[in-house]
Amino acid sequence: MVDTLKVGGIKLSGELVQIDTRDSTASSKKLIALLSRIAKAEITIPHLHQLYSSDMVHTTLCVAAEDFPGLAKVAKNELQQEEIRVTPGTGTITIFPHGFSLELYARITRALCRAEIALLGVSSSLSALVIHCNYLLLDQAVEAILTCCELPDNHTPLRPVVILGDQPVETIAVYWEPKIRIYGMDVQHELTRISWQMPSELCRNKQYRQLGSQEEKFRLLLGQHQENSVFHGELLTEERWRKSTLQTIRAILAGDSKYLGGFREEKVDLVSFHGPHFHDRYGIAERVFVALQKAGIRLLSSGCTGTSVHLVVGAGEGNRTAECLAEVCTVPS
Amino acid sequence: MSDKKLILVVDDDTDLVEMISMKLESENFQVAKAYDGVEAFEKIKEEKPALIILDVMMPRKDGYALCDELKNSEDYKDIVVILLTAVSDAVSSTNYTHMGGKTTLADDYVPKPIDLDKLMEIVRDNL
Repeated sequence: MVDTLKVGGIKLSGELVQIDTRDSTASSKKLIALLSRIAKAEITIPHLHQLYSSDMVHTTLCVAAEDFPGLAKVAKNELQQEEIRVTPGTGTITIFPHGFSLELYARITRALCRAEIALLGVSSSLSALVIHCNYLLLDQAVEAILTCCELPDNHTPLRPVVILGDQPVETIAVYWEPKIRIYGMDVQHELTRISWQMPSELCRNKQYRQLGSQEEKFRLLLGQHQENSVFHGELLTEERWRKSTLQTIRAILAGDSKYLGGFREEKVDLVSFHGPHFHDRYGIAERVFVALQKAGIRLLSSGCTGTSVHLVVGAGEGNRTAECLAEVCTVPS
Repeated sequence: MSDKKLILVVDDDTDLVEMISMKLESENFQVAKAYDGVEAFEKIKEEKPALIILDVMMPRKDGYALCDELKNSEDYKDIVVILLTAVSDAVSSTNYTHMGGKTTLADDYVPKPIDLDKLMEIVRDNL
């Protein structure tokens, strides 16, 4: 009998265009210029996440395929820079709830690796894991995921259509608001940030099976596909799971020792906020990044998915970051 | 058997389901989750929650239809239903407004974006 993990549902995105940018950490000028163009064109960003390595910040963001021609027109100069890579035909698979389970992440990435489906990116929201891959391979990817995950019998459809009465309704209501309405802001202090780079094929190794096997939990998970099939991963975890997670990741990297040097561990704070329909509201990313830049707050990584925004800052910087964001966000009363 | 009251949270916004669930658990409630109206009805039959926090616009079966079905059923009419209604005034391009929530048989309604503390107050008042 195959041992599977229960999940509540899986959702597939429409076709997206993925844009990857590289910028120096000293200034996120190129990224902010691009975000400003996207906001001015009233285009929403369903997914955005960033990872830092070797004094460069690598940002992955997606826009709907139908929005891309409009963006290409207004951001011609920004998109033609050398450090920008545009990948059309991208899609996302959202698996929920993740229950912060590292084992779920490990099993899914391993199943996709076995099915030879390249991961273009990974990020976690409060409830879900979001996997970026080739849009044409989404159904194949779901098949692979279902070798290790189990859906409920009467699960919500993979491509949901919202119904009101008997009619399907359009629920996308693209709008801008002067202050970003959120449900609330949360700061978690003194988490351990572990980042690593590894060739994708190390997912096949037996050490990879140990990832999450002691029921370790993550607080944030991010990943990006880099050149030469190298995967840059990052997770935030609490002290009680730090040691076993570190040991497992080191054991995986020992499979190709040249990657041990890219391994990092540090203490960080995680600032998170959630709000309704962020993916329908343009200009959120721009305002958040500009506010942080003006306050001189250095982001170590970030992940924005659906209705969650997670910002990783240095240990001790969490409260200041939340105060800075309070100026651009509002909690309804 | 646990004496904690069971609350079913139903919304296709999975992050919101998680956020409300975490808050309810911290307030000592037991929580079940569903992501559309059809799945919610299955859970109601299986688990008989004391209260349902129910979104309106969802795949397969919307919150109004589910609420009416429950309130017109001998078996389920006593389950408290709190409707989470649409993102309010800024939304002009949907064919739905939050006013519709007032015409249903729901016991109470909360407009989005919700204030979690206020929602907890409403939950406690209705149990």
